[in-house]
Amino acid sequence: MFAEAIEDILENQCTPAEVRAIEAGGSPAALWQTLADTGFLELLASEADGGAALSLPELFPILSSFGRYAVPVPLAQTIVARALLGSKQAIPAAMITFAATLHREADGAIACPLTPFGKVADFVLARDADDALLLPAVSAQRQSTGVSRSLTATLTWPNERGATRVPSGGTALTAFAAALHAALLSGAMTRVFEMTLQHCNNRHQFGKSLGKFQAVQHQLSVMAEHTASASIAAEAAFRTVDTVPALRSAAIAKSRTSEAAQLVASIAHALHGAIGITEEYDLQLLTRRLHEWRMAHGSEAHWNLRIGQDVLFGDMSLVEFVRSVSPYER
Amino acid sequence: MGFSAAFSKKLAERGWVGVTLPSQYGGANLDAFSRFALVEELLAVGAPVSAHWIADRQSGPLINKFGTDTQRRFYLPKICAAEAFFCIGMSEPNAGSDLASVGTRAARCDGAWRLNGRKIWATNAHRCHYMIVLARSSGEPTDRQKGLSQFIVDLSLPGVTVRPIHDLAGDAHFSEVFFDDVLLAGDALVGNAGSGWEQVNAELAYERSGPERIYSSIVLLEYWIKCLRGSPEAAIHAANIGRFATHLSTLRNMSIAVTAKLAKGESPLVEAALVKDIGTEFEQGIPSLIEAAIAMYPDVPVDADLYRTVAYVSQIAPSYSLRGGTREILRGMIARGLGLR
Repeated sequence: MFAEAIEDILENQCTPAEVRAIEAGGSPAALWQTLADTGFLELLASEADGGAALSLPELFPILSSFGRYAVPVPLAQTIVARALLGSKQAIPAAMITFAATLHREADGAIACPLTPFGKVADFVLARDADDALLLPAVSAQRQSTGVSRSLTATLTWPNERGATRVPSGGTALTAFAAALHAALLSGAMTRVFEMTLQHCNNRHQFGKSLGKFQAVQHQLSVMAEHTASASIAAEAAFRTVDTVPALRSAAIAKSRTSEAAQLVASIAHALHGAIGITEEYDLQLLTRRLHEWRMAHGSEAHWNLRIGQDVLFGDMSLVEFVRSVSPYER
Repeated sequence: MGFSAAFSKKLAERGWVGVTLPSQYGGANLDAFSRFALVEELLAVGAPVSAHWIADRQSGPLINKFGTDTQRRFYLPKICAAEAFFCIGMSEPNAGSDLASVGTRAARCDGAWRLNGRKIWATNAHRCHYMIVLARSSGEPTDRQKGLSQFIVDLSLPGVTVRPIHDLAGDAHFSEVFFDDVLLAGDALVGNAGSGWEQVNAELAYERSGPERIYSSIVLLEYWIKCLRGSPEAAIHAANIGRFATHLSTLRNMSIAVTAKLAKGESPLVEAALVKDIGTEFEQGIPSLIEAAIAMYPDVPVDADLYRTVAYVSQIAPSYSLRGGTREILRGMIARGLGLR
């Protein structure tokens, strides 16, 4: 029910026009204020702190809908960051994003390369060994990637001054960053699939709709298979009674959704034809993100390597390993 | 999947054959999840379970769901005791993917049935006691799905000829079966005359969704992992192993989701088709990748068992996306589920 109410709000507030405006450099402040006023930021906070105290299984469809609506602000990251930071850290309703990595230069400078929403975020939460570091973006130099309409940026700070250390927040950050991007990817893929199916029903060539051609039907079936796989994998990372996704489940979720993202985007564009790569058609809002999110916080290549090493350097058989990460066993 | 009547018998003695069937017929009254856990264990170690497999997976549940009480009392205890092995009688030489065009005919004669025609690609028919035959009990092949019925055929009856077919891997695991004026008792019919098509589809949902649709190459994969552990090649292939783990984990979760629908009494045809299509792609990808991997460095010695196993699995892997419905048929079913057909 929560998820449906939230979808209604996104439908009205986070319109394709709004997404385009913010991507073009417009201020995200009004959209952010609306989302904050609606109570979005406290979805994971305890009821004592005025939050909704959602469980992770309840959070999953909501994060997924952020992907579906291509939300152009770090809403998923902020919800999770506020839970990780806890009520002890008195933080205003600022935009917090996650850095994929943190580099320290010899002179003490800090760099967070290719940070999602780096262009607009107020704070960056970065993993620093076992800890996490909350860095104020206002004191950072922001370097755009040069990718058209992307909100990703590289942020650098001359030193650590102004940063807040969150002891032992590192692992949770890595797992959550991977899992939340898996949820975003699955939501965006579902929408891309729906748009493609609709297009194939509406568009006629050779006297019949595209969906009547067997070659097209089979491409849509493959797309459905990978979209369903991605949703199942992403959902599994959130199917836990814990407050943080397990790292291995998050790894599997991010890998499987990232692999599917490329394929789903590619079939969507193939079936849409030239209209799909135009600016005015909404498909691009989602497929650009599929590629960006596939690469954010480790692509399938990164996570497959880590999972493979866990299997090969462990002593479980593959079936035992797979069962050990299954959310259905506990 | 190996065939061992003795192994099936031992499993049956433990009560591990027909676990989903009612206890009054020798089953264990367990749900589909319990069967999932059991067959996963068996498949993971490559146990020789094919003798009782079809009866356990689909023939038993079919008889339980659509059969008469007399049929249940006669067949189900034998299935649970691993004394009756079943095979599938769907495909014919001229009815493969186009199953609705079956030409095998069952004609009524004095309260009994006379069966004529032939079935093909029936796994283990030459080692089974019974076949459930999809036959036309009225009308013409042009009537397609209408007029089809299912019959339990005792393969020792006069007029039945079973001819094993040798395959490219040196095995003879499937057969062609001929029916020449085979006289069937009136109670050979399962379910209602004319309901064969619906019954076959319910049966196929069992066939398509189970763990065996994701574990066909698992013994090979586990053995490759064993060989890689501690070897210099482990680092090179770690990402490939990780990808297989990721896919297997996701497919297993999907298969459990379909099992949940079966457990609720639904017949999730489209979901089962979806899991089977993507599952066989995974299963076929395993020998394909391992062949390339173990021949990556010609000067590195290859484990003899691994070499033999990958060759066998590669040769037999095309069957994964043929049995239980070809890739094209399954994608057509998914498209129908999407409202495109």
